[in-house]
Amino acid sequence: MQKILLIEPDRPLAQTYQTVLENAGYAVFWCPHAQLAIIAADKMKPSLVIIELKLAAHSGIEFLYEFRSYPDWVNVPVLVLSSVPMEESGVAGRLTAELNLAGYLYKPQTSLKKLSATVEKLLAPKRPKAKAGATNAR
Amino acid sequence: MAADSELLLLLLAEQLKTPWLQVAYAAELSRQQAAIPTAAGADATERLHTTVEVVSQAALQLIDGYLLSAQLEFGDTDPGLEPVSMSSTLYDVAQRLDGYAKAYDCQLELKLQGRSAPVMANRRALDAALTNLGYSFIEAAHHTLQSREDNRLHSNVTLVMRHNAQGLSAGMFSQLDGLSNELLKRARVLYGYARQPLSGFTSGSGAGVFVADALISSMDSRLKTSRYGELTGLAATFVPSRQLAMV
Repeated sequence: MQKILLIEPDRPLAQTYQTVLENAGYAVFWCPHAQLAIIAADKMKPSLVIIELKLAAHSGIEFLYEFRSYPDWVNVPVLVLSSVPMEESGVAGRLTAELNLAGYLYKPQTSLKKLSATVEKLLAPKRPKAKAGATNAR
Repeated sequence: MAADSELLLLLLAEQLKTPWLQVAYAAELSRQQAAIPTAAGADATERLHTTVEVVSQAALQLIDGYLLSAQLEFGDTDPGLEPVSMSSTLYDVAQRLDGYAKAYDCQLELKLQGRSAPVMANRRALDAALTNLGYSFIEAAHHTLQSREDNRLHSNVTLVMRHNAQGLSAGMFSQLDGLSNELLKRARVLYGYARQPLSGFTSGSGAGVFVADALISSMDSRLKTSRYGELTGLAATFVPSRQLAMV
């Protein structure tokens, strides 16, 4: 089962996301705090991280920089799910590439259906890319 | 420069995104569960309905508190102070916070120390200030508990009334990290300009604290950080009603 680390400070919201993602067949570990999220990531080896940037004490961006500093987690997809619009978040443009973000969802414009679909897309098995010039054998 | 109530409106709008999301999600999830009913789904829907009920109540109290603070700022409402029973106000507030506290696995305690003489306050403003402060503390206490990774299953918020040299003090207390007079002072400068002026205290905008701050200021008092045993909190002192004290 694929594991998702959910970093969301609001407990009722986190429970809702957890219900929806577990119904979709994922194991979800909820962490409300950036400080503990690194420890949680180390223990559970997530296939995907979903993070709100507005956290108490430490910002989500601080977490992301630390998370990406570990070689094991450089390629783990990170989906930002935030109440801050992307253009005001501080991760727009250059930082998106620097932090290797897989996606950014603005909460007020994100239904549960859209969240599920995005997660499904990010965690779908990657098909090997066809080699350039390869032809169909049929 | 914008009026305080305009700056507060920005924080309010930011804070209200979360309860509205809950309402929207509840509707969406209920529809999904109705299409494919399961026992686990029914439990989740029931929990979500309870959550929607309490977060909507909290949102309404926040809007109402903001409206009252703006009316008091612009003089549309008489800020006249009258004798108010602090103990019964705190009792009402504790009852109102109960459902929200349960949603955040928080245990509420009410500590009333000494004889409760009436204080000079605006009844509605005092009630709204303590209620909104309470909602903020429940959220903050929950974050603190989660960040400490200790063995406690529940966070705690204590509503306290006690006497001091200036009068009768009322406030909220918990095992919180990062709450200090410096944080509060800086937050009062930053609010309306920063998305999280109380970032050490809450992940939200802290609108509840600022609404409480505005309401308490309108009653000629001041919200200050305070200690209650091992607990940290925010409290305000109100002058006893001399007229009734003499009777």
